[in-house]
Parts: sequence; C-alpha cells; structure tokens
Amino acid sequence: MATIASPMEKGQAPSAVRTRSTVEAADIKAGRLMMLPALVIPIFLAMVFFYGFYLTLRNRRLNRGDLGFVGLDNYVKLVQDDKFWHSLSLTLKFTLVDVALELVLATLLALALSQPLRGVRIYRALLIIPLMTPPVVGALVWKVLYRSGNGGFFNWILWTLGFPMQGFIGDPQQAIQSLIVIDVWLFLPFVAIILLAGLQTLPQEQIDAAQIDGASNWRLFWQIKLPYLIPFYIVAMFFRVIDSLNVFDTIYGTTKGGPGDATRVLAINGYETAFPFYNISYGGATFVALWLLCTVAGSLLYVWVKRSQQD
Amino acid sequence: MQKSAMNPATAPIVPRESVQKKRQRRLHFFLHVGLIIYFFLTLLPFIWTFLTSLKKSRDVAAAPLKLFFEPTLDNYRAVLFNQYSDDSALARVRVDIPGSFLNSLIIAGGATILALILGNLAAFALARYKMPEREVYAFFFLAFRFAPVFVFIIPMFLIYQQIHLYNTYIGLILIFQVIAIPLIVWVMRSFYETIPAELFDSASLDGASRMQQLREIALPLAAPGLAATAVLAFIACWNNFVFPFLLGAKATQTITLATITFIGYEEVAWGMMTAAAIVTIVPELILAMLVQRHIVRGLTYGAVKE
Repeated sequence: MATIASPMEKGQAPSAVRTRSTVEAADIKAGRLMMLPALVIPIFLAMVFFYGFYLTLRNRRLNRGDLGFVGLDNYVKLVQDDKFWHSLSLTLKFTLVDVALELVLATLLALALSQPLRGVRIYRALLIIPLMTPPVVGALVWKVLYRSGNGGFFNWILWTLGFPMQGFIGDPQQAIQSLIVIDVWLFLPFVAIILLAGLQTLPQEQIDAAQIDGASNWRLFWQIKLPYLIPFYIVAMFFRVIDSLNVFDTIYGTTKGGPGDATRVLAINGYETAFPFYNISYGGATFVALWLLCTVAGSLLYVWVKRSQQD
Repeated sequence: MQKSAMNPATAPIVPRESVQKKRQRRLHFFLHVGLIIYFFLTLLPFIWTFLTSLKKSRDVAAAPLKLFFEPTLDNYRAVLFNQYSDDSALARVRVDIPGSFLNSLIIAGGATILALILGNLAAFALARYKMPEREVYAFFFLAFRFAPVFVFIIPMFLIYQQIHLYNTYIGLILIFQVIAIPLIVWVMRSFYETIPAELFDSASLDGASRMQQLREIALPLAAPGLAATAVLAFIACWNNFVFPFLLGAKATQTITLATITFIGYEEVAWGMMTAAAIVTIVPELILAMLVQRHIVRGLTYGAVKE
C-alpha cells in the first residue's frame, strides 16, 4: 500500500513515564553519535562549498593561476553579462515547459496504467526503462535519431513522406524544443510512477460512491482523483524542478549549448566559463547563482511538500 | 462521446451490468491502443540504438538510411573485447569499454558500499531516536540533493589536484557521497520508521545493544528496502557523468564517459557508440527490474511509499 507521509508529522509521543526520560536522554546521545560518521563527509563537502564561494571572490584562472582578490567583481560582472541573463531565462523556460509537459503527460499515463487492464504489469515494468538510462547516454541515443539528412531516422521519415527535412538539435530555432523532448522522454516515467503510486491508494469507496451517483469519468478525475493526487504532484515537482534547473548531461551529450547559444542553459554556461575557458572563479559565480536559484526553489517546494502532507 | 447513451438513467431498457461492461471494454481498448503507441515511442530510441549497433559502418553512414541490412557483431566485438575490425571507417577510434566498465563497477560499487555503511547508521538514528534537532540533520542531507553538483566540482577540481585525489578511485568514491549519502539516509529512514518501535523496546529490555538492534532487527526487516536503495544508489552513481568527467581522466574513465568519447570532432562512431550505450544500460535494467517494488520510494527519497 502506498501512502504519503513525512517523518516529521508523526510527532513525539509525550513520555508518560518519568523513568523513561533517562533512557531517552541516552538514546538521544547515542543517536547523535550514530549521525556522526554520515555527517563527516557532508560537513567536509559543506566546507568545500564555502571554499568554492571564496574562489568566486578571487580571480583564479586554470591557465594563469591566482590573480588576486577581487571581492564581488565576478558577481557585478555576472549581472551585467548578457550571456548570463540569456542562459538564466533559457533555464527557466526549459524548466517550466519541461516540468509542465511531464506533469500533464504523466497524468494521462498514470490514469491509463491505474486501470485494471490486461497486461498492465508488463506496461509498468517497461515504464522504468528510460528512467534507468544515464541521461548522457539517453542524449546520445536521441542524437542518433535526430541525425541530419535522410540518414537520420526522423528526417528519413519526413523525407519518405515528402515533408521538408528538419535540423532538430542542429537548428537554433528547434534545438531547445528538441532537447525538451529528450528530457521529457527520460523523466516522464518518474512523474508517472509517483502519480500511479498515488492513484493506487485512492480509496475505492470514494470512486464507487461517485460512480453510483452517476459521475462521469471526467468528473471523477477533476473532483476526486486530481485533488487526491496533489501531494504526489508536489513531490514530483520538487525533484523535477530542481533537476531541470540543473540540466547539464542531456545538453552536453547533444548540443553542448549550441548551435550558437541556443541551448546554453546556466549549467552549460558556467561549465564553459570555468573549464574550457579557464575562468574558474567567474564560472563558479554562475554556479553560486544557480545554487541560490535551486535552494530558493527547493526550500519553497520542500515546505510545500511538508504542508501538503499534513493536510 | 455518447455520454447520454451510456448513462444508466437515460437507458433503462438495457441491463446496467452489460452497459457498464461494454463501456469498460471500449475504454480498455482505447487505453491499450494509447499505451501501445506510447511504449512504442518510448522504446523506439532503444530499438533504433540496438539496430544501429548491429550495422556495419558503411550501413550506418548510408543515406537514405537502410531499414534492411546485413547485421554484424563487429561493434560488439570492438566494444566488449577490444577487437577492432578493418571494416570500421573509424578504426582509429579506440575506447577501452571493458576497462571503463570495470572502472564504473569499482567507483559506483565502492561509493554505494561506503554510503551504505555511513548512511544506514544515520538513517537508523533518525528513525529511532528523538534528537530534537533531527529534522535539521535530515534537511542538511537533503540540501545536497538540490545543490548543483558544480558548486562542489569547481573547488574539488583544485583541491583534488593539490591532495592527489584527482583521477583516483578514492577521490571519485568520496565525491559520489554527495549523491549516495542523502539518498540512503532518506530512503532507509523511511523504511526503518515502518518497523514497530515495540520490537526495539523489547529487544532493549532483553539487553540488546543499539548496534545489535540495528544489525539483528532493523537490517533484516528492512532487507528488501535496503537492496532496492543500494541498487538505486549504485545506478545514480553509474549514471553520473559530470564527476568522473571533471574529477577523473583516463585512469578512472567510467562507462558513461567512454560512450561519449565516440563522438569525435569530425565524425561520430555511431555503430560503436550505440553498442557501448547498450552495454551501459543493460546491466542497470536487470538490476532495476529486480527491485521494481521499492523503486517509487527510493526515487522520491521515501516521500511516496508503496
């Protein structure tokens, strides 16, 4: 049985017996001790993160070494950089379209898979295949399909049917849409299995009662299923929004930000600046900006997840 | 849609049962059609990848493309056993896929084992003991999940070169904890929380230490969940591209990285690349199918339980 529940809401049972409090104090101490080993590496990484922030306050070049402390110069440069604003708006658009498409399509998929169909188990098993594919390999797989000329699969179909062939990832006008298709293909099943898990716990009595009242499937969806699924949507959004803001692999595996700057999202922009162009401090500043964006979005969604689970 | 005709209230002559059955059969028919179209589209990239991997290089390059061709295992011979045939127009492309496969196994496996050891203790403590600040710990781990990995990679790139962890197994296993520890802590916590507290309480009365409780009660009871979580952590590390890409080089080249090196500046070794892609994905799919039952919980960090 699937339920949505957060550990937080369970609350501590008030210790009724006095003598238990000493046991509890010992438990708390032991608990903290057990946390320690797992905390060592994250604490170290948190320090690494601060060192990374410090690096953005200097002018460090991979090819020329450390050129001194520059304060907030890299950030001032960032807000004046057209490339940064371009990649920020591209990232936001990518995330919005990507997540919206996934939510809508996953709803349809989950509704279909929640029906008592024959062979539904096979469908559900097939569902996770793209999900287990490394995004960078998924991107390569699509690169094969998107190949230009009538040697490429999609273009061959268009050519055979007498339509003009398209550039797909090679065309600045189509590149970002073509990449969204790849990302939706990779992660639509992720959203779908979450919603499916939700639908499977929907109390059957509610559906039966509505059906006896003569509710159509349409009304059944809008008035019973959808409201019930809201917490599941929020969980799915939490992961998908963050991962879409950070998208890198799918784009690096296909267009590397091109053609031109057509698919230069924030992560690609920061990577290009930091590594191929050696400006590790300025690239780092881009990622601090992205981190800020993800942390704000992530925290808001986290609070939303918690609140929706308490209802 | 003929809604009124299906409505039992307006069609009283036909027995209700059969109207509903008919309606359901029709609905199921359309659902099957829809689902088959969806899965065809979803699996098409894999089917096409597989077909491409069976082509000789001149068939891959053919335009218009060839639907029918003489299949060859040359690409797999190259990718699995490092045996390159003369046929390949890209015979100079040499990527050590078996070596990369082994690297991936060592790095992803090592990272998973380390994270399991560290993460399980923390997950058990979070589930079992009521530290007042335990949500702070939990959020701290989660914060790694939503930080862009590059905020760690950039400083680590410099640090690792200083302390000679750059391009080493240990270095990559350590950095993969960014992914693996939060996953294991959150998912295992949710599994441990489903174990009734009374079990631990009575064991405690019998004099079992906390470690014994973890080893002898929690771990065995959560074993299926543990396996699923371990598989997901392994897959997350196996699938990762950026860490080995920027913190490793030839000696630690993982399989995802090796696959992408078939893309040259001038040409792409499509045949070998697709064969390598198949080799990368198949082991993961087998693992994933084994733990299907707990996959939702694992993927959502324990937020959605099945």
